[in-house]
Amino acid sequence: MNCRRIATLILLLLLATGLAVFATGQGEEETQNVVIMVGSHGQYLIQETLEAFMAENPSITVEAVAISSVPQESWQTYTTMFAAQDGSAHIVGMYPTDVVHMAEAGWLTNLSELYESSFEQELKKFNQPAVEINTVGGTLYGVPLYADALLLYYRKDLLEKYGFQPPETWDELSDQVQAIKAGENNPNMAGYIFQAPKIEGVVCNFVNFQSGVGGEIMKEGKIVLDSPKNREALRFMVGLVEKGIAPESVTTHNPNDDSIQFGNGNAIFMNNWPFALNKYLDSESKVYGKVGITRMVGNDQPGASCLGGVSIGINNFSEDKDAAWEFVKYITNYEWNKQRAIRSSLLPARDAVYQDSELLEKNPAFKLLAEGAQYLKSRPTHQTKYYIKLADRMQYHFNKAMLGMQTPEEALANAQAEMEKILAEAD
Amino acid sequence: MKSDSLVKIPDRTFGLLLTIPAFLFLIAVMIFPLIRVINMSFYDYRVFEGGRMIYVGFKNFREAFIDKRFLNAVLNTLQFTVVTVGFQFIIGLFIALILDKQFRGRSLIRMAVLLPWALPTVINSLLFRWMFDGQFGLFNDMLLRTGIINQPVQWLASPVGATSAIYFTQIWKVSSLVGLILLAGLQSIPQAIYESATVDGAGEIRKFFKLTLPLLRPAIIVVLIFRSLVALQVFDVIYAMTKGGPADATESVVYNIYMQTFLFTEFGYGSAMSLLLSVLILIFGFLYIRGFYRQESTIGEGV
Repeated sequence: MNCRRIATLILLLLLATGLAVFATGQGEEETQNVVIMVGSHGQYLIQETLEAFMAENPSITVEAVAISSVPQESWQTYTTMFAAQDGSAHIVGMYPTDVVHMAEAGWLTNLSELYESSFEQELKKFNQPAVEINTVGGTLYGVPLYADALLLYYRKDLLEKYGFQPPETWDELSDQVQAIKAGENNPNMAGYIFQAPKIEGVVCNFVNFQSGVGGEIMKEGKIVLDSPKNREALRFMVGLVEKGIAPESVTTHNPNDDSIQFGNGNAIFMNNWPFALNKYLDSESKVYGKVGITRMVGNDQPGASCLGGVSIGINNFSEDKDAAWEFVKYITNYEWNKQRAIRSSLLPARDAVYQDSELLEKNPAFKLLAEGAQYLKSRPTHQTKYYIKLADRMQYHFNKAMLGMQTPEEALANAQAEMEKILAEAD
Repeated sequence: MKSDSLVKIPDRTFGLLLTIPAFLFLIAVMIFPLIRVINMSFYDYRVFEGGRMIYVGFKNFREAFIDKRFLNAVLNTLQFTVVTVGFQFIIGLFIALILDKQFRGRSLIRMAVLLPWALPTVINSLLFRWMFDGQFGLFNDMLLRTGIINQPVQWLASPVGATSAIYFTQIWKVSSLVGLILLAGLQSIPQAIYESATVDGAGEIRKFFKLTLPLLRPAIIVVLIFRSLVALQVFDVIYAMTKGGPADATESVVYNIYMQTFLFTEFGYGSAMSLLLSVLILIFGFLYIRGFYRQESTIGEGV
């Protein structure tokens, strides 16, 4: 009947409008709602942190949203989110490779607009290289949440068995690997494992070796990749696979794969980030009590670890930025840096925490991390806003060199040329 | 009481009105983005100028044609399509022919055969990535134990190895789906035709090539078109297994588009590449349909 048809139409229309309103609008609330979006490694203790914060700040509610902790994957999430000018995530976790691009694109809030002048003093207590990464053109866009360093892990028990001290130079490490492999005669045991697929990890590992000869990727905004020192570093890295000190599978393994291999007892040395150590502290682990961490090996000069880490910034498209800033200050304070260090071995972003007696008492393994993480080397992430595009060229050419598809010299020359082209053609 | 309403809504109009929500949805999800992509392909997206778009005409398209990486991706994608669809078809046909016969446990096997396809692509790719691992992968272990090789093969570390691994993974996953579609086609062929052919003295092979294949043609065309169009857009297996590596040996067109848009924020360039891919897909579809119509006219003659 026609009445019924009209009624059906009107009902459907009402339903559609009602759903639309419900979906897009939230009711007016007295409290301010803050959302923090950070990768899974940064999610450790976050529930506790935000509950403690909310107890002290009843007018602010905080919610945590997890995204991938793989730099490329979180970056994808951000390009989509920010291109749509989506302000629903107030606080965003960023890797060193992301900050400059995000700041220059206008996606991040200039934090000096939000903080009180006293915060400038507070900033000095943070790890300064990490603060530098978050400073673009003199303006602060992020606060370091935790630090990360590509450390040199080794099997304490194996080195002791053969009477070795932890190596300090490239040659010492190579010799030790060869001696131990010959002695153990275990075909499943690799010597030195690290990451060399076409991912950012290959650049991080390159930086580790680069530190031992003092090479640089960029200097004052110019590409200086093709240099004698860098050639030495890349030649050594490629040579490790050629000589069998590192297995060929390094060209396909990511940090997680390597942490598993080392955890199964199938490697003597490993370059990896602190997250791996957590697994080995479990008494069920096959390498429980057998893991040591030492300063990265060097050649002409002592080695250093590639600096990583996560910092948090504030989404420029969000509302309630003041409330978000309150939480940023809270989660990056001394106490929570310490708690994260004690309970999940995340390296603190504040220097003083390393000496904290409670930390050293409750997490004795932390000393291991602290020893390796003192010596750091950065990538030139803050010298250009095109780091992601430039790094893509390095990843491509380094991976090809590691696979033997081109020589280290060719790799560096090609990468240099392509990177210079990118900068020349950039707007 | 006679329902004498103010407005008389005829059947057809009422039906049309009810489709409006769905139509709006379609516009929002398909037409609007399509128009936007076409529009964006003529602009340069300046991410560092707040997303300002500068008109550049056909520059993005011209760049794509001289971009070695993009051209390499097109070749990789074409090769992927030809090889994987070819094998999918052969293996699928084999599966369909077997499942067409009556045997005990047939329905169970039919269900089991569908499992590879039901597995989410990314999970499948990650599983195979582990199995192909050079250090502790299952395949190397099996090959070493049976003495087929005496050194572990670094599957994902060489262009040929990585390409083979990806092809193998993809073919394994989708062959059963092809099989089931072809099976449906087989089942619609009346048994009477085979019986009369046997009476006429035709052997199995003759029956297969002169009866089965021609009568299966509609199903075959459907399978080839759909699987090819899907293969041309391959992304997930590459992303999960090799990320386009080693170097750019396994990069596909869609993987390139992903890199340009989501990693480098070159939305204009990515849009142009998407349009070029669409054109490629349309050409493929057109060639298939041309082939089908030409063949159809000869079916009636030989049988």
